Formats: sequence, structure tokens, C-alpha cells
Amino acid sequence: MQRVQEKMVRVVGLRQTFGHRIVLRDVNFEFSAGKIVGLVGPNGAGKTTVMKALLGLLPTDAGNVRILGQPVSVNTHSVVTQQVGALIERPAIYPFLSGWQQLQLMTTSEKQITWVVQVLQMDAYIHRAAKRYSLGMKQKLGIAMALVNRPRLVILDEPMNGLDPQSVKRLRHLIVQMAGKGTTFLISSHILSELEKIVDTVILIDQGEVLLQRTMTQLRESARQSLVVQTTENAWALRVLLQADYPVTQRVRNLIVTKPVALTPLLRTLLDAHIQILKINQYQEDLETVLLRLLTERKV
Amino acid sequence: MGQVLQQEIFKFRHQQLAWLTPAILVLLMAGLAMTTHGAATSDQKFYISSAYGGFQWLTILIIVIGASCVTMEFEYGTIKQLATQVNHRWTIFVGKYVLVLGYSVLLHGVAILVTLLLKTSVGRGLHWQYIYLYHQSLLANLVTNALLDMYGGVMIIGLVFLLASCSRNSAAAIAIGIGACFMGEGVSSLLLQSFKPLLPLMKWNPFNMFFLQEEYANPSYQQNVTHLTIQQLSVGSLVWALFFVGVGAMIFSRRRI
Ligand SMILES: Nc1ncnc2c1ncn2[C@@H]1O[C@H](COP(=O)(O)OP(=O)(O)OP(=O)(O)O)[C@@H](O)[C@H]1O
Ligand SMILES: [Mg+2]
Repeated sequence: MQRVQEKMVRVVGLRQTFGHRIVLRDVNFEFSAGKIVGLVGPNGAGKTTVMKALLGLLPTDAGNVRILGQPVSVNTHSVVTQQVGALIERPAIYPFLSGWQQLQLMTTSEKQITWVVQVLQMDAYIHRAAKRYSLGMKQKLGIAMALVNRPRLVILDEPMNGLDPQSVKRLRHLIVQMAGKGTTFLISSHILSELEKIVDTVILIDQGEVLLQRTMTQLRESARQSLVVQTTENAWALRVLLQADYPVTQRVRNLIVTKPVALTPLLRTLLDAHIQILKINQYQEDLETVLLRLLTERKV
Repeated sequence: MGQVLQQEIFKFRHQQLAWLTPAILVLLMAGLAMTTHGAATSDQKFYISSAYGGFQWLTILIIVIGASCVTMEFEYGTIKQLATQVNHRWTIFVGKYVLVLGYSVLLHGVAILVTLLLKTSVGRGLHWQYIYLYHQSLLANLVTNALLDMYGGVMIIGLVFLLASCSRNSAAAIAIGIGACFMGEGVSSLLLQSFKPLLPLMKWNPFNMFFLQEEYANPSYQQNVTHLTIQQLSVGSLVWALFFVGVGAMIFSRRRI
């Protein structure tokens, strides 16, 4: 068999309406295996709908969804059954079963259940009935159910919901570790600061449209950098820097240089003018700011 | 399909309801059995052949179980998980139907066994070989009634499954199911009497099929009430069951999740 670089997921021209509401209009994206992909966008953007379409849970109006080259629809999704694990919205849990029994419904391999229980640290309560679980415990069980079969593609919708900081960190490590071994992740989250730490690629979606798909490297390049300088004589320093053609503005007690500049010449300019520097900080936009900026730029 | 059924059984036997139901059934039957202590022999024969009311209680319990077994998947959101595990969602629906039918068979077995036990303590005076209806022994009557009830259940469970596939919580399906079960015969008689010219069509209404058991006991029903032979009733009952399950499965698979 010819081995081309296989696309894990490929979505072409996906459209979805609920009644008269257009929820997805011409959604296109693709990504390859082993990636961690973040799906972000405001409430109601269509993230969950996209994920449902990927799992063959929705009859879509138009478009083509393929996972590992195999078509996915409501009535044909063997590839989903065999290769995909998912947590969509809230975890799907029978309250009368224990976490362990719930996992038994997913797989016959006791070894894998033991593994997932151990990595998510659920040993303490896994044999208790799920109706007595807290929000975070249920969430972890939902994640465990998505991972227990060791699928090649894992789809997680808001996985950090209700998790404590330690569990979030542990989950992050687990995701990165599994991705290193070839598992692909598609993760939606509103906690961009968390997402930023793990994803390779970001797909930004708004009002049912993919606004952009960028790798983190590309996004970091487009992130604006600025320098925050505080001196004993800000007014004087501002004049000096402006004379030297630096793009500077004054904001409260700080001088802000809005373009990336070489540090040494700037410092020399200030020192030559006998200005004392109190503080100097480099500041880079985070994912959230970049995305919000791109969103507003797109709308103008 | 085998795997779906296996999963359904796994879930079912871990529900309290599955184990509580036979216990409730036994209690209700025992309760009625107590009251028959001093009853006349003919009454006692009736009670025994109808499993001390067990078949009727059992129908109610099965309706509750059937309805909740379908609606719980939507209530808990577990349908998302199930739907990704099979290519055709209707297999889940049919799997559940088969499970509930099987459970109905089991409960009928329990009802017969409990009747045997209760009779040794309560209806001691009566002999099993006693000839009761259909020129058959009392025991044969009991078993025949169980079989007829089970057969009627196929359609009732189908109806409840159809109702449950349309509603988000089980209460509505349970209420309508029980209502249909106990008032359906009246509704059917009313229909047949009110629309005399439409009789050839009306006699095939699903509620008319509920008379199967009565007509078996009382062949004159054919002339006076149902206007259908016992064979027609049993075939009609089965056709309606298939119809209900078919439509139910379609709604179940198309429901938005
Ligand atoms: N069952 C439904 N019936 C009608 N409209 C729906 C239904 N489910 C979702 N929608 C609509 O589809 C749009 C997209 O919803 P979706 O759940 O995909 O958003 P989302 O991006 O996941 O949002 P959130 O961040 O809040 O989870 C919303 O405008 C919502 O109103
Ligand atoms: Mg969502």
C-alpha cells in the first residue's frame, strides 16, 4: 500500500442548519496525525456542532467529513467506532453504574481500564456509583471514557470543565505524552491560557465559519511584542526616545515601545541622556489577545 | 447486535429496578393471595389462573421499565456514546426491545413459580388437575394465561417503546402506556359502536387487539365485541407490534442528540 502523509481529519464544505438557523456555513479544515489541535471560538460558534459532525452524530446538510480517509456520516462511521474516542459537552454517564463498570462498557481490556484510572488518579472513587461523583469526578470519568480504548483520534469538548488546577496540569501532561506517541487530539476550550500550552494548531471558528487555521508558531510570530520601560523621568525619556525615532507612548507611569526593537541601542540612548531606568519588561501578547485581535480585525 | 444486547443486559442487571421488580411483584401477588383466603372455590380458581393478579401488575412494571430504558439514554446524554458505537442507531432500539421482551418472559416465569408457591399455602384446597376453562386443568390455565399475556405484551411494549422514543422523560410514556393498557379495550368498544359503517376498518385498530386474552377465554367475544377471529387478533397484534417498533426505531434514530 502506498503511504502518503495521511490526513487524520478532513472536513470539506460542511454545512448545517437547525430549522432556519444556519449553524455551520461552509466549514473546511484538515490536520494530520499526531497533532494537538485547538478548536476555539465564542459561545454558539459551532464548535460542539463540528465535533458532533466528526463523530457522525448529526445528519449534515452538505459537506464531506473524513477521518483517516474514511467517510463519516450518521449511518457510516465504523472508523469512529474503531479509532475515535470522544467527550462531547457533558460526560455521558449512567448514574447507577460505578466508574469502573462504565469503563467496562467501553472496553473488555482490564489492563487499559487500570491504566486510565491510574493516569487520571481516579482510584479512590472508581468503584463508587457515579451518582455520588462530584462535577470534576464525572468530568474525569468522561475523559477516561474517551481515552480508555487508546483511540488514534481523541475529541474533547471543554475537557477542563470543573477540573482542579492539579488535574488540569496532569491532563495537559497526559495529552502531550499521548500525542508524542502518535495520538491526535482535537480540543475545544475557552481557557485559552491552558490550551496555548499544549496545542500545535489553532482553528478559530465564529458564527459557523472557520476564520483561520494557524500553527502556534505562526501565531507566535504574529503576536505583537512590546517593551515596558519605567524611568525616574518619564517625560524626559519620552522626548529622548521619540527624537531617536522609537515608537513610544506613555501610559500612566510606563513608557511603552510598541514594536520589537533591539534592546542595547535603546538602553544606550536612555543612559546617554543620563536617565535612570527603574524597570524594564518585555511583554508578548498571549493567544487570547492575538485571537481577539484577529477576530476584531476580521470583522472590520 | 449481539454486542448491543450484551451491553444492554450489563446495564440492566446493574440497575436496582431489575432486582426490585420481581420483589415488588411477589409482594403484590402475596398481598392479593392473602385476601383470597376465605374466597369461594370459583373465585380461587380465577385468582390462581391469573397468577393472583401477577400478570396485570407485571404489565405495569414492564411498561415502567420499558419506558425508562429508552428515555434514560437521552436523559443521561449517553445516547451520544451509544450512537458512535454502532453504525445504525435503530439496532440500539431493537436491542432494548429484545431485552425488555426477554425480561417480560422472565417475569412471567417468576409469576408462575410464585403462584405455585402461594397456592401451596393459600389455595391448598384446590387441586392442580381441577378442570377450569377451555376444558383444561387449572395449571394449564395458568400457563395459557401467561403465554397469552406475554404475547399481548409484545404489542404493548412496542407501543410504550414508540411513545418513549418521542418523549424526553419516561413519565409521559408510562402514563399513556398504562392508560392505553387499561382503557384501550373500552376505547376500542366505543370506537366500534360509534362508527358502525367503518367497522371493517375499525376492527383492526390496535386497542381491539387487547381483547386477545378475553376472546380466548370467551369465544363469544368474536361476535359481540371484536368482530375478529382469534387468529386475526393474534396476527393483528403482531403486525401492530412490528409497526410500533418500526416507527419507534425510526424516530429514535432521527432524534437530535
Ligand atoms: N439542538 C439544537 N437546536 C437548535 N439549535 C441548536 C441546537 N444545538 C445547537 N444549536 C445552535 O447551534 C449553534 C452552535 O452551537 P454549538 O453548541 O455548536 O456552539 P459551541 O461553539 O459549542 O458553543 P459553546 O462554546 O457555548 O459550547 C448555536 O447558535 C446554537 O444555538
Ligand atoms: Mg459547545
